[in-house]
Amino acid sequence: MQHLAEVRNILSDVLSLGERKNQLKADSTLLGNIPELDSMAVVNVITALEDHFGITVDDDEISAQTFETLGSLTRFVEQKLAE
Amino acid sequence: MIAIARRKNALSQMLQQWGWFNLGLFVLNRIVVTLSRGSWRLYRYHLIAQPVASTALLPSGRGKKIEIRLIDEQDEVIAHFPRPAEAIKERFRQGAKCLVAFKEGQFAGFLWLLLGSYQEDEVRARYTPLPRKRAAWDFDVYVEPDSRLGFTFLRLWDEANKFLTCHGISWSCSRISAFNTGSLSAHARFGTLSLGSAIFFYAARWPITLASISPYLHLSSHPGSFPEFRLDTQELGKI
Repeated sequence: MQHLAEVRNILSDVLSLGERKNQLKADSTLLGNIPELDSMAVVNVITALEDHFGITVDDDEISAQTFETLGSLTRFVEQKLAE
Repeated sequence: MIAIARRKNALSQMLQQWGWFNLGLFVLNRIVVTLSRGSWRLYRYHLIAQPVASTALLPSGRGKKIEIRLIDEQDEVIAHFPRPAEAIKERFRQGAKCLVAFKEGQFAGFLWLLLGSYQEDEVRARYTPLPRKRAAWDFDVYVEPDSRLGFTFLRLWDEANKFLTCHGISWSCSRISAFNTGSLSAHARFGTLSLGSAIFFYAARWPITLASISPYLHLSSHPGSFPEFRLDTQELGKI
């Protein structure tokens, strides 16, 4: 996952994670583990990912599975980049 | 060992989010509920006001597949509400308006609004947002588990803000449980201001209310006896 660090940085910036950013690994659980990640924050994370990577995310593609871990979110971004 | 570590981690997270006072009340509530076999309970509510947003919360193009409809009490979708039928009936009787979200025709959530005083259905209390034609009451925002990560919540609020703006409302007041972290953080993002807080202690049949605002202290001897909180938003936002 070559874009893991970039996705982690975006997530950290949008959610203002501070020091907690350094604890995020590919298998780190996002949903339920990061209180800042609610439905409002998801909009901001998606917008930031779209802007940074030049991708377009459809409403239907946003699921709990995508946001389950940092790794699943990165895989989703990489799939979008490959389209 | 893993279970202990998880519990310790959960407690430390709760302490970070709630602070010592609320965590203490939460633990105390657990103890009294257990010892009294559910007949004694304790609630702590934050009484808040949020400005009615004049701009959309969702970026344009997002959430278009979610339909929001203002329903009446005859609507069949009510059968899907995870709330007692009697409570729903009472809300409509009070004049509450219910906005319902549908995703591909399926029930996805609701949000309730009241342009007037609200008689609480969890504890004995009445809330009166003031000034009467400039402030409203919002309550019970629910989103189906499958839709919680999507845009249903924000679509509901965008429609609620449109509805309130059309009725000349500038502030929407509500109460949030001090133990509901998700709701507290969501409201905080809306720019909520605190109007006070209240603790409701239900000991057998004699609920006691302690509040940081008038009437400060109330002992309820029967269902018709309750504290009324007059939530004045007149001076908010002028500071």
